[in-house]
Amino acid sequence: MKPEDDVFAPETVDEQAEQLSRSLYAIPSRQGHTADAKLVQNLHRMYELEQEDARSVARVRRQLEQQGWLAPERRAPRSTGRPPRAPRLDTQAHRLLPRPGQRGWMVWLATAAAVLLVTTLIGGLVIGLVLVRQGTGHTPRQATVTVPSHPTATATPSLEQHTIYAIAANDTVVALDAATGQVRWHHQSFGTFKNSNASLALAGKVLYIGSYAGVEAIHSQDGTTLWQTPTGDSQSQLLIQNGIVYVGASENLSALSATDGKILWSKTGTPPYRLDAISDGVVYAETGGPFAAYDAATGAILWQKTYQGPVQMEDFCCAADHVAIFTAGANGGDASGFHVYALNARDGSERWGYSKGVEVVPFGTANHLLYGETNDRHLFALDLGTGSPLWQVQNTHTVYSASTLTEAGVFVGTDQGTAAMLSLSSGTALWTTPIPGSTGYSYPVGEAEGTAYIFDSNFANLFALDSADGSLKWHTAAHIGATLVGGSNGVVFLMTNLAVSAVNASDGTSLWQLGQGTIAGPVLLG
Amino acid sequence: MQQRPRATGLDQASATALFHTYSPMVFGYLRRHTPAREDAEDLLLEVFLAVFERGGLATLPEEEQVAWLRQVARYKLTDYYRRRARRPTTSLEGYAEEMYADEALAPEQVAMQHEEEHRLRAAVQQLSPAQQQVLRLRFGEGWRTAQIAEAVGKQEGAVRMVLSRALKLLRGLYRDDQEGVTPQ
Repeated sequence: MKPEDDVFAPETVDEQAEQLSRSLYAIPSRQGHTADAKLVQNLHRMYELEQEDARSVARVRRQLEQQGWLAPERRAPRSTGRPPRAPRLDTQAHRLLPRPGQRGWMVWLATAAAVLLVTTLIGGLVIGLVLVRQGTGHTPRQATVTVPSHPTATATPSLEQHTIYAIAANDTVVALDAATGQVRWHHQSFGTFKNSNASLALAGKVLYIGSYAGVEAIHSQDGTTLWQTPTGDSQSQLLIQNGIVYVGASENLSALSATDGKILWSKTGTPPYRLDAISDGVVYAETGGPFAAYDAATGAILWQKTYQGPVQMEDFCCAADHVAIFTAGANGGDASGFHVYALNARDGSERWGYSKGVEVVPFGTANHLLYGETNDRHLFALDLGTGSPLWQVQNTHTVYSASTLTEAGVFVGTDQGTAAMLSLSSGTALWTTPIPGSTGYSYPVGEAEGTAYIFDSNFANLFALDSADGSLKWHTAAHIGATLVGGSNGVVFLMTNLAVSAVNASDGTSLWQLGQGTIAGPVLLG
Repeated sequence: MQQRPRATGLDQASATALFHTYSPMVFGYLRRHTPAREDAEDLLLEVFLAVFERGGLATLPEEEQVAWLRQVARYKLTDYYRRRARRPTTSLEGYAEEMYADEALAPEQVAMQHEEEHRLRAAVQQLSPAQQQVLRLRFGEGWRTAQIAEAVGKQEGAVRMVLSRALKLLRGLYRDDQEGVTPQ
C-alpha cells in the first residue's frame, strides 16, 4: 500500500489518475471501490455532464436562431474555461481527434473501424432481411438486464398473474414477474429503440412493440415472435382498436392487422406522423403539415386543419363523444387569446368554443365532460357535446398546478402547499390536506387503488395520500420524478431514473427494483 | 433571417443576452427534474420562447429576472409531467449513455450519489481558477499533464503540482465520506 503522501504526489499524479480512470472503465462501479477511484470517477462524470449540458444548450440556441429569436452566434472564442492555446475547443469533435503522437495509428484505426462498420451494417442488413422474410422470431441474445437478487419480502401481494413489460437496454423487451421482479423472458427486438419513440401496447395475450424498424407482435406469455412489419421508425404510442394496430412513423401512417401484421392501409405525405388518439372510428394524427383526422377503417382523410391568421393551433388535448378537443392561442402567445375548441370528429367543423380571456388548459375527459383549468385560479367541467359549463370553482391553485383526473376525483396541487380532491360531478372539495414541506405548487403524479401520489413543491419527497380522505399514508425521498406505471393488489409500480420499482402501497417499502439504467423506455403493467 | 412576429418589443440583442446569461442555469434546473436530456432541451426551448413572446424580462432587475425564469421553468416542468401522463410515450434518443449504466442501485443509493456529485461540484468551485482549469482539462478533456502544459504554456512539473494539490484537497472530501463523517 502506498504511503498517504505518495497518493496523488506530483511525480505520479498523472499516472495514478490514468490508472484509476482505466480501472473504472474496466470494472463496473459498485460500492466498495476506493475513495480515490470514486473521486476520479465522479470528476470524469461531472465534466462529461457539463459538456453534455453545453451541447444541449447549443442545440436549443440553434433552434432559437433558426426561428429568428436570437442573433446568429459569432464564432468568437467562448468563455469555456479552456486555455487560450488549447488546440481544440469543440468537445464533441475533440474525442474523435487524434492527440499529439497518436495520429499514425489513429488513421489506421479509423480505417479499420470504417471497414468493420460497413461490414457490420451490411451483415446486419442481410440478417434483418432474412428475418423479415421468414416472418419468425430469432434467438434473442442474452439481455443485459440486471435483476436484484434480494426482492424484499415485506409484503406478499397476490401478483402472480401480473407482468411488468419494459423496454430495456440493448434493444430488448423484458417481462418481469410483478410479484418478485424476476425476469420471465426477454426478447430481442427486430429494430433498435434508439433515435425512435419506442412504445409498448398490450391487447389480449399479445404484446405489440414499436421500434425504429417498425411494429412487432410477440406472445406476452413467453416473448416468442408472432409477426414483424417494417413500417419505419415508430414516432408515437401504438394504438390498438377493433383488431387493428395503428402506427405513426417518419414516412407513413399505417393500420396493420393485429392478427398477422398485414398492412391494411397506409398514408404517406408530409412526414413525420405522430398518432394522438383514436376515438369513435377516427384516428387523430399530427403530421409535419396540418393536423389530420382519418377514418380508422379505411384510412380516408376526413379533414385536416391548420389555423391561419390571428389564431393558431396549439395542441391536441383529447377526443371523446364524437368531438376532438384542441387548445389554440393567438399568434405571439398572448395569454388573452387562449381558447378551447371542440371540433366535430367526422368533418372537423367547430362545434363549440370556450374562452375565458386567460390561459385555458383542458386536461382530460370523463363521463361526457371535459375538465380543465385556467390561470385565473378556476377549475371547470364542460359538457363535451355543447361546451356549456357544468361547474366552475375558484380555488387557490392556478393553471400550473398540473391537476390530474383520477377515479376519485380531480386531484390538484395548490400554491398554498396543499393537495385537494374535487368531486368530478360538482367540483366541490372532497378533502384538502397540507403537504409537509411544501411551500408552493405541488405536483400530482396520479392515483392507483385508492392512493393518490404527489410530489411536494421542492421535488424532495413523494407523498402517498388516501384518495378517500387525503390522510397521509407515507412519504419517501426515493422515486423523485417518478411516473406512475400502475397499481395492483396493494403494490404500486413506479418508473424513476430509468429504473422500475415495485412499492408496497400501504407503507412505501420497496419490494423490488430493476436497477437504474436498465430500463430505457416505456413500462407497462399487464 | 426573417424576424418572428412578436407581441413585445424584445429585440434580438436583448434576447440573445438573456439566453446567454441564463440558459445554463435554467437547463441545469430542468435536467435535474427530467428523466431524459432531450426533454430538458425541449423544456428549455419552451421556457425561452415564453420569455421572448411575453417580453418584459429584460427590463427587470437581475434578481427578479432569475426568480421569474425559475417560475416559468417550474410551470413548464409541471406542464411536462401533465403531458407525459397523457402521452406515456418515451423517446430514447437522450438515454443512450444512461441506458448502459451497469449497476442496480437502490433509490437511497441514487440519492446518495446525487448528493456526492453535488458536494464534489461545490468543492471544485472552492478551488483556485488555475486548479479548476487543470482539473477540467485532465478529467473533462482527458489530456495528460504534458498536453495541458503545452496548451497553457507552463512547465509540466508546474501542472503536476497544481493537479496534485487539487486532487489532495478533493480527496479529503472522500476520505471523510468513507470514514462515515457526515459533512456539514
